[in-house]
Amino acid sequence: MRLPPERIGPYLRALQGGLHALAPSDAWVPLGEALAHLEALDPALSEEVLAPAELEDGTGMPAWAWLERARAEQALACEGGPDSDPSEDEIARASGLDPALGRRLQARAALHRFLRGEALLPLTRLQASLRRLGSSADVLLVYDRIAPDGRWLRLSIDLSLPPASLAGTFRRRDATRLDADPGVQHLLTRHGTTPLLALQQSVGRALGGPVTRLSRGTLGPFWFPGPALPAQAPPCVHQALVLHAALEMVASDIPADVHRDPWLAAPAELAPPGQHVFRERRFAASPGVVEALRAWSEERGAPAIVVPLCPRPVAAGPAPRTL
Amino acid sequence: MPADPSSPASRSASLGTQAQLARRRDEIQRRQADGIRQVDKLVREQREVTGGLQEDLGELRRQGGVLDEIEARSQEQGLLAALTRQLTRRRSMLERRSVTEGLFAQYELVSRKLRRAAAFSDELRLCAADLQQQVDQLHAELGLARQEQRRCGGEVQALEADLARAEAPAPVASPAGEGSASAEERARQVDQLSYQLRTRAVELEQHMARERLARQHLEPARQLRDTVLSLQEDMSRFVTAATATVNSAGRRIQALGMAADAPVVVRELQQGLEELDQAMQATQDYVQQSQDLLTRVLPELSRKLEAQGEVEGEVLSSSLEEISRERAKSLADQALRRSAEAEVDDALGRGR
Repeated sequence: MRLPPERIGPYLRALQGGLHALAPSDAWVPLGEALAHLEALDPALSEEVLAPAELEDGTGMPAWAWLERARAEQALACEGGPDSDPSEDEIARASGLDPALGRRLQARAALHRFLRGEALLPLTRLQASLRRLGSSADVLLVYDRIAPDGRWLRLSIDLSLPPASLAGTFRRRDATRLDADPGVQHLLTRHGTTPLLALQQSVGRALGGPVTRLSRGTLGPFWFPGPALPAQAPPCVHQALVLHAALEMVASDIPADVHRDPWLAAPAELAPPGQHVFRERRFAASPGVVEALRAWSEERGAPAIVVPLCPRPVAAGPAPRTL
Repeated sequence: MPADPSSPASRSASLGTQAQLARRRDEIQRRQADGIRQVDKLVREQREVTGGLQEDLGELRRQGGVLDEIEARSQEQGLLAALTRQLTRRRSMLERRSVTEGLFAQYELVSRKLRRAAAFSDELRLCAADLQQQVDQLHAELGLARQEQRRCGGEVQALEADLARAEAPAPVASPAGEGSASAEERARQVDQLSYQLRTRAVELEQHMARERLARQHLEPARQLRDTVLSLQEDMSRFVTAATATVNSAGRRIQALGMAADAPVVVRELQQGLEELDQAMQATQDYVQQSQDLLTRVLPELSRKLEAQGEVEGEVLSSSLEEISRERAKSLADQALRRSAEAEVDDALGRGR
């Protein structure tokens, strides 16, 4: 789905408002990267340089190709450095000869300046760190990805490995940081959306040690007026803004299974002995539907946190990167 | 009446005009040579961009071969295959590369080069706009030169008529000796009119040279502009088409992750990658076309420009001494006739 030019800015600022309202913790992809990525796409900064604005049909999130265009521009901006930007004189000359071209050169230069100073969401990224090295090697893997359906996904995996097997898969960069065998990232890319417990099992088997905690945080879908919503969406949200933030987690320090996700039914599953599964879904929604959405989630037996979503104002300048 | 040509200001203006004309000639030549150098640089850069893109598209296409292996492996049947799979499970789980990851990396490369190509298309556009400005300027100079020729031609004819009158046989002198004074006065008038006539004729010749200069440079400037415009149009079309194709492949690559490299998606992806062949073919055509520009069009333009420089040197060498009365008359007739022809051409829409 493509957004018409006049809807691009409002869409992005609404999504930014939703992210601010949800205040995602480090169980989700970094908020700063997400906000910066959306800001780069905003025509207020980049005009039509990154057009067309494409969305994933099923989730209403920015399409992978649209996000990737910003990343490609960032690579070019960093590769060329500030000297590669057109000078003010060049832009003025271009504006005099061809106003549309002048605007485009100016927008590209502004975008490049912005992108040189910001981190954006990665297509896929794996960070590994060593938390403790004693009788076991406790390793944390954090894997970020723009999921196939456009949602932004983060897997956080706590592994307990026999110290001897650490060296087979990881290389120590310093006291805490590890470089993982590329196969680990490939494995997570293949199975990033596999059901939680099956994923836990696969990762444990592949890496040779139990997964003591596994969480998957996803941002999206994002519903907004216009596109058709899924049939099971509550009627109250049909003309509203709603951003989902889902979290599913399996760990030994969860005392009992908890299911607070009104959107997905609790699956029939059995966590490994001594572990339990926690699932929840939060919503940032237009203030007018907050109560109705809360009531709907309670009716479904999975009371959800619903916070009011206010789109970021146009004149507010760059979005704050921290909460 | 024309200004007093014997004044120092008028003489220096006349010399100034000649010097200005020479400077203008040098400037036009320099700008056109710069233009050719810039276009040459742009074409080489464009070849680099599209050549790199072609390689990366090819690599993305070749990744399709990996998909065949995955599909074949997933279809392996039998006890031995099952046992082997179990025994090698852990190792193969880590060794097995995600097709998605490989394609992501390749897609990122292609995407980056496409962005570079899009930015490059804007550089070409700016260059074309610059060249169009030069063409506009030459047109304006051409128009002005014609206008000045009309003015000078008219003045030369008027001076010629005055001179003919001044040279006509003198009336009979009066007994008071007025005739001899009148003869001196007439001789002075004849000298002055002759000088004015020659000065105007030189000015007229310079305007004619200015017209020739503008006209001679107009075609190469136009050709250079058209070359860059067509490069930009082709580049823009290519970028649009390749973006659409690569985006389509991107969507399939992205969808591939949905089913953990499932064979059904793999097959779909292969179809998507086949579309890349078209983008690669377009790149190939594009590279060939730019080869023609580098080896034929630009050197030809360059040669044309050099040849013109030699011819132009000759037309700027006229001086007062070389202008005879007959030549002045002929120049004026020629200027007025060409001006009238140009007006007719303009009225009929034949002028360029």
